[in-house]
Amino acid sequence: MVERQSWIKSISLYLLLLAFLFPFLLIVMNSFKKTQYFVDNPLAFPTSFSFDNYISAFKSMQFPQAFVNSLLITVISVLIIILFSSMTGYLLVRFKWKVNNVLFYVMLASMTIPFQVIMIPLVMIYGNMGLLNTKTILLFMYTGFGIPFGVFTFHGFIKGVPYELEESAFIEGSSRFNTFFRIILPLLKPVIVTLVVLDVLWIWNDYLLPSLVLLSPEHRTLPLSTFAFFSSYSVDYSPLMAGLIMTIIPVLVLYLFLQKQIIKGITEGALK
Amino acid sequence: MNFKKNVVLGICMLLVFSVLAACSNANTSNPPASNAGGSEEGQGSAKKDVKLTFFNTSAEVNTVFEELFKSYHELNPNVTIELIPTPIGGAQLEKFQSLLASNSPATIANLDAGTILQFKDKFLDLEADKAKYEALTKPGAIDGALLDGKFLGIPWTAQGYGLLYNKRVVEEAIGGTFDPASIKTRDDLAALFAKIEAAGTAPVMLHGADWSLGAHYLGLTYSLQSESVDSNRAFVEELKNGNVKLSENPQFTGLMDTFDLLIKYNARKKDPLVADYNKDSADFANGNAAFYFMGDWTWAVIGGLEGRDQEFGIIPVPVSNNASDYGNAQVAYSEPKLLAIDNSGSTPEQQEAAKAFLEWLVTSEKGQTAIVSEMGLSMPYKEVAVQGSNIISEAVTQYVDNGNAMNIGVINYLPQDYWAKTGASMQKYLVGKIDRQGLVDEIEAYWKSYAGK
Amino acid sequence: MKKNTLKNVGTFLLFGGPSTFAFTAVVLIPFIVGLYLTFTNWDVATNDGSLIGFSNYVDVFHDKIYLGQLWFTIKYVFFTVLISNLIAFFVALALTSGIKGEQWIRTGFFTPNLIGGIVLGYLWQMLFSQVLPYLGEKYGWTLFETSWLTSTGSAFWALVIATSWQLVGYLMIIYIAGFSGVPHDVLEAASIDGAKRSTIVKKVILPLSVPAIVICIFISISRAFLTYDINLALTKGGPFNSTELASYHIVKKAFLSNQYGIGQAEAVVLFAVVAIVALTQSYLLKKMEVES
Repeated sequence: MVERQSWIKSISLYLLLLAFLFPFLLIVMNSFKKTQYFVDNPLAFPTSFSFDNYISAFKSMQFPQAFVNSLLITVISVLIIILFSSMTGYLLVRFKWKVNNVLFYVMLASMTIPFQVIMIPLVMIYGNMGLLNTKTILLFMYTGFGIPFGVFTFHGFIKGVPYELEESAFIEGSSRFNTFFRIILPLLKPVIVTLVVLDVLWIWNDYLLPSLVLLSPEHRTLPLSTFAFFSSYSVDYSPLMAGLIMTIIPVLVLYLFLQKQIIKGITEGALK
Repeated sequence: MNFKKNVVLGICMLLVFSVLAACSNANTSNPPASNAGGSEEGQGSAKKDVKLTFFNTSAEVNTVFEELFKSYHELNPNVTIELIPTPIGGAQLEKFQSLLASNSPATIANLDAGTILQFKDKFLDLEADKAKYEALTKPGAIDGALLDGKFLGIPWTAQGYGLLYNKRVVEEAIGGTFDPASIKTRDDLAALFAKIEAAGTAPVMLHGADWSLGAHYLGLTYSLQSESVDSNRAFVEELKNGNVKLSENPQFTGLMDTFDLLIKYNARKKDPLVADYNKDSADFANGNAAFYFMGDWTWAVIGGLEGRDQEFGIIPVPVSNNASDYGNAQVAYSEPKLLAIDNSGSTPEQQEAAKAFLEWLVTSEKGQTAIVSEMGLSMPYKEVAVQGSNIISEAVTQYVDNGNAMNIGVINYLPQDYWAKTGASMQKYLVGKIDRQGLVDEIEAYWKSYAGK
Repeated sequence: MKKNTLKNVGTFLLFGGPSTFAFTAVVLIPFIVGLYLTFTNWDVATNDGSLIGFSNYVDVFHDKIYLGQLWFTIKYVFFTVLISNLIAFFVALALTSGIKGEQWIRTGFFTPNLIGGIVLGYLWQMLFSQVLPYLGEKYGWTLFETSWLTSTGSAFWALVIATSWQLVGYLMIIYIAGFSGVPHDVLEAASIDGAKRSTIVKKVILPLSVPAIVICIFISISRAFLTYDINLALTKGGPFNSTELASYHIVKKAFLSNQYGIGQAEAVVLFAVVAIVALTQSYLLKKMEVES
């Protein structure tokens, strides 16, 4: 009985998974074909495995430079976001000041702002101060946009951390700052890992913001470099898919690596 | 605890921080686009270093332009040109406006003539160079590029559209050589379609996208009114004022009667709005449809296909059964993109360098080779040293050289959203969601919403 | 007392200062400027404008098309949030109970998130307009014989499916993180003991994972409401502008129809709707959390 049920569950799970992966199989398969044959019949297996698409995508995206740009921007912004938002999340949970409450709700509400409201004013303000077109300002903007979600998430999880854990540290004379980094932060590992994954994905794949902020070719990130595959009325699918796979792989590796950490966090029951 | 004090103090600190941050950043970062010079090597040579930016809305040729910029930099080491590509997904106006709003406009912009007109105050008046370009280009090319009488953008490419045909398929169906001039009226076309269908091929591919239906097909209505752009503009003004009854306008009804014919013989009859540009173009090139309502730009897709048919041509869309009516012998022809130079944030050095580059682009062999053979476009210039591979645009050129080009310049003066709005109405008509009267009502209502604007 | 206040200010600045600064400079100030612009007739072409009061808002409420699209968006959000959260919750539950190859399955569900919105939209566009009709024709499946993107009803579901496809993996990992608050043996029991399973889910797991649920529903609501990329690439608002979600309509209004002020005012209205919906649901769910 039990056996059978878990069988059914596994099978339905695998079926669902297949449905989820189907579009992916198409990408992989068609990244080896010419766009023409892809348009003819997207489902046909490639007759020969040619890496031409990968080579041309690598060249036209100027992959190495774009990769380094994306890497720098993503890593630094995510680190800053995690650091600042965990601290602020902690502040908002532990101190029930009015200003904190206001801050929390303003940040929460800000997550529902359509980007279109901010877009023109943002480029107007920073453009007129002459601050656009540097990676630093993009990092700063990602920090600003990423913090509300970070604070919101940390806030939710820090609430579950018992105060007694800190109390003993305070009795030993530890400062709040030290206590936070010594006691609280390690407990937040599963949340941090989750947030890292989500933020990395967002920033790694983001197109609109860097396209507004970074103007010079030498700053282009990976998503910005895919412009070569898009024309006014159509898409050159095959090299795009090859480029897509090359863009995805680093994040996939990161995810696989971090996933172990998420599981560890769960099995250790760090947040019981 | 004193909360208010906390808040006030917090805000003060923030202000101090922001001022500090703004100052320190302003010193270290390069103001974009608008900085001329700034060479680290300090060559001290005669010419100052100039950096130009180039905003491109012809997305399919982004990479060709980037190569050209490199070549130009090799010839003129003091000039660096950076490409600002069209944003993915076609949000061109959004990107263009964000550049303007951020006070970092592109030095050169390759834009639709209509967009240049809309932002005409931002661009440099090229009046001083007008005579020079008039001498370089084919007759009428500069006149066609004038916007409200001003020379704001340099034409560099010309396009024509109509009913493209696949020669092999048509000839197999009629069992002989096909003379495109034999299709003079709608009935001629209907007879030909019937023959092709009887031979077992779909007669025509009707691409169901709003830009094709709204701008190119329905857009003919405004150009068919007369040969003069000015009186066509007057017609549009009358539309806006509600003084035109489209259902009584012979050009409109004629055009729509032909549209009904295209619908009847449409290769995509089963699912008319599916509109996959790659697929539709490839099916036409491979002979799965004899005709295709499209323009010479589709060569960018067709040209590189393996195993396609070899010969293609173009005929105008017949709009009546009277062979001498305007439009039955004329192919729609325009200079869709113009190269304009910014005058809102660029330095005189940049503007001069931009002018020099543009002249090189359209006159040098390297520039012409890139435009004609690599981009597959035709140039409205007298001396083009390069032979192109785009046989559709060559077919268009024949019409032009014979004086059979329809000037569709009126579209430059239409509101920017006309193709999207009226294109949607055309889509409804195409799938039978509304009838002719419904279509007329929607189009008239669209124009009336612009009354007085 | 005074010393205490000073210390509190110090704590606030230390823990909240950098965040608040970045947030204010990047989100809050541009938002306020944006809000201000809705009361003017400013536009990019003239870069000039004067105060015109509420007239942009009056126009918004006279724009029947926009109001219709707002309603269309709400329907879309409802189904997207419902479907993606249900799937994500149960997949997350199944994938924390020790199934073989758990990690790989998780990765599989998560992979759609590795693709950015525009590319994802194009991918599904090709799937709906090419692959499925191809299969439909070959095997006579009437459901897929014509493209889903060419009629309003099915294009709606195409949008919901494409969005959910991506959202499920995202929400799943938040749910998984949320289940870290649930003791492992409970999860195991829930997966093994068939008879008591639904009870355990209802009585133990659900209440314990309320924080995760609050986050997930909030995220999915705001993300679905603000969908732009997928809409642009998948349906382009078509057929005949019938599947324009609010954000897409706003962009077209502001930049294509060149009515920046009205577009901006429509965006503010959208913001109000999203904020009210999202905050109300978190408030209600949080109350549940306290009560349970």
